Amino acid sequence: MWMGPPQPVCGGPFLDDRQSLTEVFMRRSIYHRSVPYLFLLPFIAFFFVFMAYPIVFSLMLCFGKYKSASFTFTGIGNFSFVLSDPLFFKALFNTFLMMVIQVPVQTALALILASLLNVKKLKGKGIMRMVVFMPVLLDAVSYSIVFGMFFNYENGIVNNVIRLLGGDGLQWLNLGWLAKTVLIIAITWRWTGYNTVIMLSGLQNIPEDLYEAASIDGAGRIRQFFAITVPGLKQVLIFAVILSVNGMLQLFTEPYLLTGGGPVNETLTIVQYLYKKGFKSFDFGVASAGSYILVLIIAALTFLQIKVTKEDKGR
Amino acid sequence: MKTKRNGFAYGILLVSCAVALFPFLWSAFAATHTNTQIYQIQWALRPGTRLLSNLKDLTASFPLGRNMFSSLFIALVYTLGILLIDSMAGFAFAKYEFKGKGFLFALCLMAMFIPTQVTLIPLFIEMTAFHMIDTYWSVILPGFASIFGVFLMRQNFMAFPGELMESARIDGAGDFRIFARIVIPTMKPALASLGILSFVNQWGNFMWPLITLNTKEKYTMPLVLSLMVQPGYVTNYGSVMAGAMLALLPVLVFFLLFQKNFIDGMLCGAVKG
Amino acid sequence: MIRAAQTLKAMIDAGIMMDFPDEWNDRITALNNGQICTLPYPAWYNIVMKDSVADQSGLWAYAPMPAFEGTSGNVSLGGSVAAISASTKYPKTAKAFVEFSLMNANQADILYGQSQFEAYKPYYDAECYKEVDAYFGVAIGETFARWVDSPKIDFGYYFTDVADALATAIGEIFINGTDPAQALSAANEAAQRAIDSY
Repeated sequence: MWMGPPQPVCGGPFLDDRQSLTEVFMRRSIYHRSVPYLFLLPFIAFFFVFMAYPIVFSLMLCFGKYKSASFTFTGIGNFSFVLSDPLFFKALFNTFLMMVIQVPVQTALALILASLLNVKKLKGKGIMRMVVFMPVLLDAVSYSIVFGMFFNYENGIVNNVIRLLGGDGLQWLNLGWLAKTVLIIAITWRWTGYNTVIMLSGLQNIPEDLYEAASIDGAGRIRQFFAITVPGLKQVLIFAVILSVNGMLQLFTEPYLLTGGGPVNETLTIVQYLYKKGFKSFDFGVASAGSYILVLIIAALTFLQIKVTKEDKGR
Repeated sequence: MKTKRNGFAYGILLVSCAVALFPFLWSAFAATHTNTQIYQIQWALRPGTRLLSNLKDLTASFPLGRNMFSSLFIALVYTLGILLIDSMAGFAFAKYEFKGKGFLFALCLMAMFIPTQVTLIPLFIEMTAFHMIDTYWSVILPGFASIFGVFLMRQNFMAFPGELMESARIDGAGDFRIFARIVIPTMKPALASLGILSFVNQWGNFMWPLITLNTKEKYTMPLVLSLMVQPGYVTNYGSVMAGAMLALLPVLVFFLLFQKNFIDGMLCGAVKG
Repeated sequence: MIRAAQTLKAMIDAGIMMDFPDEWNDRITALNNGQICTLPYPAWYNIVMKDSVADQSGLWAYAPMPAFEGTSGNVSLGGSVAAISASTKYPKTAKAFVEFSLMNANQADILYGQSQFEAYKPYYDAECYKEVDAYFGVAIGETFARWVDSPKIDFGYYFTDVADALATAIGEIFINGTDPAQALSAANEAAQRAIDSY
């Protein structure tokens, strides 16, 4: 996903200082040559101990069985188990379905909200921006519990309102597709504000004159939106979408707490499946193998997303 | 025309704000209700009378003071550590050329795409080997390997004008001094950004503390809340909501304190790659 | 199992069963709302009822579980289990402690306040169990002592995998309306696959 050296957003035009720094650098003493390594050291140390090593170790776990602190090699047995487990495919289906619905909905909402918050001379913008962002602050456990209570069939406030309006309460957590909907609603509530702020910052980097020129040329608001705003936000949109897709593919806490995997595994996500295999059945080999299958899926999707949007750019 | 458009904008924004706020308000009021009231529409946004007894129930089941301390300690130490470690690392990647830079950077980039779940089991085995299971450090230390912060800080540092550094260097200042005295003070928005995101993330961290913490006193607030609604536990929803509100307080305070800087910080970095 | 599933299904279809997505908490709420008249649930639940449904004291009684002919209908459900880690340094001491705390008739008083339905039969000879319980109107010791003939369950190594498969089967049968024989054989396959992969 190396898109070339990223261009900084703020700060305006400035010298490409890498050249001059390099020159300055070469004149320095040995002490100075070690400086970057010193700056980097704490992070790299933690990275190797707590990230690189576990990743390598988990790769090894994929190919065998780990029981009572001893490891036996079994080849690709774990992978074939996962890839022939109907439950895994169910989890895959659930995760993808929810992702495919949630991400566009959330992105569209965030885009709309960001555009509205960008309107000039809107009083109270700052406060509204802060309020819209707030859902991110409520921790995952709390809001899962709250939403679980909202959508309770017998007593939840959602059904109570529906009944008040004359309808019948819906079996939110008992029907597969309704349970998925509850999760999508909850996740959208939580993350739209975050994405809104990200998009807002992108919006503020689109020069005003573009809009002015366009309206002088007679372009209406909607036309301006699609001709100026969306292309101008391209990088931001891609970033937000990639983040959201990744987040949805790795979904765990909300289904774990809200639906427990849903009625008959209807909201079981991939990571939930892995958690079950790893920390309920203690089959670390299968759980690791499954994790890497997930990694491949994420990598493939991300690569696809970037490729597709790069082609759009043309030349 | 403009006022009509603005009115439209206001309308949608106000509705969104109401939707965003509703669960917060509901929870706050729910903390004062009994188990029956909590579900009734007429009590939805009205204060009840049971706040004190709900709080009492809450503290009776869990050593709440200890749990808040756990969450605060873990989140604060983690945030401070991340700010230090990631700003140094981001600075190195942004402002220096050195052997292995490309390789290390590519490594970090690749690791960013490995979901955390992949490392959970090996981490767990590692922590057991280090005899660190059930300690605060088992939660804090692995978090320092997170790459997001490094990227964010690197992004921001790249925007810092190199000439300032060069002139300081010509004046004879050492690199660490340049870093601490000149560069960092201008990075407040980025630091606020990273700080808030890290704090909020670590505060709400559920899966890993669930796995590694075993003593009741060490549980973080999310763990406490999740335990209170488990089967086998007599659930007083009012007290769960009271707990949720208590858990929200530090995060809210932190956020309100730094939010102005935070938005500026998001502007300068989180946006691109 | 198939007969049991079919009977339960018939009861659901007849509309006399109540469903709880959030099993534990919804049950308590429903009890408090007076929506339940019969609760087929384990004996240790009495402590929970005394705590959470206190105002219904005196309105409840115990009854034996309905059963097909040839069985007593008594089974073991939930409760607390003691386990000794395989990597402990002192397995004999641990075992001795379990015996001391949970299999010692002198501890009856302590345990009575916590649970009231013990797996260790000699407890029911203790004095406290002979008192008539205010909530249910009978002496716990006498009632439960008669019903302790449930079949022994060996949880074994693959407990979670089998339980998982069964939970899916139950969901399939009662929510999705799958034929019990089919659902149960699918569960059997799934559990077997998991066991084979070890």
